[in-house]
Amino acid sequence: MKELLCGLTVLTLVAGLAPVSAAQQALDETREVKPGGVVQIANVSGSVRVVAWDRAEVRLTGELERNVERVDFEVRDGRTSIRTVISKRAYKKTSAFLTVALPASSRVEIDAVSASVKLEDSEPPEDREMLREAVYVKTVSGAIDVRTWVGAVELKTISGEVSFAGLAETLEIETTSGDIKFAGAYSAEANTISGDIECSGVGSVELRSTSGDLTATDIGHIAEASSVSGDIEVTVVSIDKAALQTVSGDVELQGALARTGQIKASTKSGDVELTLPGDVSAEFDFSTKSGKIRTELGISSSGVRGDLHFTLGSGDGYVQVSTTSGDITIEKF
Amino acid sequence: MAAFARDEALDEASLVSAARLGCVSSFEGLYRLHSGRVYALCLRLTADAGLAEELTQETFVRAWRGLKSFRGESAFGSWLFRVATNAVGNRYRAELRRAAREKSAPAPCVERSDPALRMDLETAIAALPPGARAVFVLHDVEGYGHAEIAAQLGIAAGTSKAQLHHARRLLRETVQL
Amino acid sequence: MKCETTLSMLDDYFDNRLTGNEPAQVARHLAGCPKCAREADSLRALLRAARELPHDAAPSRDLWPEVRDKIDRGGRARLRAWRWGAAMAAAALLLIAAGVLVAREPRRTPDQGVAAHLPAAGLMLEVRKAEAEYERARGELLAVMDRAPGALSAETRLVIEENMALIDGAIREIRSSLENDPENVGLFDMLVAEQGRALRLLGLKEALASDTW
Repeated sequence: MKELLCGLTVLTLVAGLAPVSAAQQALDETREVKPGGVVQIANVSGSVRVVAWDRAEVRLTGELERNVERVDFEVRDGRTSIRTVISKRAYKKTSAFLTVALPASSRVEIDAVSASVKLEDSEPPEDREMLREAVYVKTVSGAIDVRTWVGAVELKTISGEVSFAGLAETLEIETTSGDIKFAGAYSAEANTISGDIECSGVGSVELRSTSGDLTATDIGHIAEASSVSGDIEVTVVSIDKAALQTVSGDVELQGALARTGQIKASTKSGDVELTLPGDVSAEFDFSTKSGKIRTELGISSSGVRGDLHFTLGSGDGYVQVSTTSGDITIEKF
Repeated sequence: MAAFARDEALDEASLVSAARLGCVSSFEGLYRLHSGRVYALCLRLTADAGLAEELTQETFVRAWRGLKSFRGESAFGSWLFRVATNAVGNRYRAELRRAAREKSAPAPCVERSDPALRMDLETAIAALPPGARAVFVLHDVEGYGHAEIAAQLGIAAGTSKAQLHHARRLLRETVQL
Repeated sequence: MKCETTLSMLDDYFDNRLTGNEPAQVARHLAGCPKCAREADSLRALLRAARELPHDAAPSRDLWPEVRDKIDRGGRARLRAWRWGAAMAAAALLLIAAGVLVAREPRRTPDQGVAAHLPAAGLMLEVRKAEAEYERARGELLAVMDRAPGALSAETRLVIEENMALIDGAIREIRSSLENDPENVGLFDMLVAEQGRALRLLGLKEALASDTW
């Protein structure tokens, strides 16, 4: 009964998703598949939307613009393959708007150029056996929006925007100029040149950019972030390691230091601001050439220049901040 | 693993799937299936065995790197061929564009009436000027169309047609058919 | 139809590019003109011989070992520049961490990185070496790269070029910071990291243009 209801709900969703305008052909095909297989979808332009259901079937619906010759839909040896084939005459301006309903446990691989990609699982599977193994999406300019509970996720694009929600064991996101937003991963790595990165709810995170701003909140225990000119803002629940580095961007870090945790923050001209609990226990090592150091911890001092070393508590943690001309501010909460 | 790759009955699609996941021995299987064709293409296009070997290697290295993006729209062999032509085109684009614009040197003049002096087709193709050779090989040996050839070699479609005409004329004069 | 006209249309005739009743006209002329028929026969024979050329050839040696080597090495070499900077930074932190976890030293030397033991001249030497390596790798990539647009859309090409310019700017910024702060290992790590990203972006552009991304 539940399966029937679930199936009906998804069918309704699926039927309602296909856009109406500018379409020349409508699609509706279903194939039987074994659960836990791979589904590969390739579409150049338009959109790809994926939803999960608990049927042992893959259903393809959608609307195709003229000059989309066909959509090949094959199942072979546990691999389902869906690809749009476009007439050579009209390569770029032809879109296919596809919706694919597939088993929740399928591994999904999507390849698009300008087509936007959306994968949406509305709730986590009850049975861990049903957990999706992996989702790989690659586009050139299409936006990527994935929400799922999954093992490995890899989302790559040049200029598309990327967002992820749900929970992933490992998450890897790469863009050149697209902005990145994600939440929910045990371990995540995001890399961009000029995009901004915003993330939360990640156990261990690594963020890299050249000019983009990096914001990470609600991080579990490890945060590594570096940007040449972007600003970095990080909040960690219990810092085992925080390594934050910029050249001209500002750095802000807030969190409780784990007993043997380490913080290392360095900039050239950016300002560094650390907010730590008043009872933090660590060795502190601040140095700046021409910036100002102001600290509420330890030796209550302000306006100090040059180097400052002191130890609080049993000194098991380690906090090092260094700038060339940026100011260093340590506040307590 | 080598025996596995040589098994003729093995589905090429399975090799591609495995290779995409990073299985090098499956990729070796694909290499065994296709390297002869790729090398033949590179050899005819460049008329230089050493360069052809280098470009064959380059083709397979590019194919390995690009495997994840192989969309399966065409057969793997056709995709590989495009990668090979790209590799050759990359190497030659500037040269070919220049050669295509200039009046190419005439092929060695051979008396049509003396069959003993006429070359076989392969040799004659190798003796063609590079622009004419590339277009002839891609069009008449491999079956590409002018638009595609123009895109691969970075020349105008009209130039491609002119080169083909030139190549065919030269070959008819020098080849023993 | 005159002989001259027929002869000029022979190519298109055999390539099926003639339209309307042109094919019929050519065929009719060939049926009645031995001279042109001879030309047509010779072209027909050439095209058939070309189509029948063997599509397989064997190189002088098995190339697989070299391909396999390049596949392995290629992966490593590509990552080398990018990971190196990160690896040095990580190594620096690891040394500190090792000091913390393995032996509780009463005092830790700050910035105990791989390059920390080098005198200032030593670090600038590393900087210059890294730059030379970067210029060389970049030159190699640019030499191989496709100058024709290929499969890249104008917008994507623009995005990549803008971001290349951005990285170049960042590299210049870091470099000039290093001039003023030649002992700054952190800056050196960032320089190498950005160089790696630049190479990676160039490689990406090439892969996109040659449709192997």
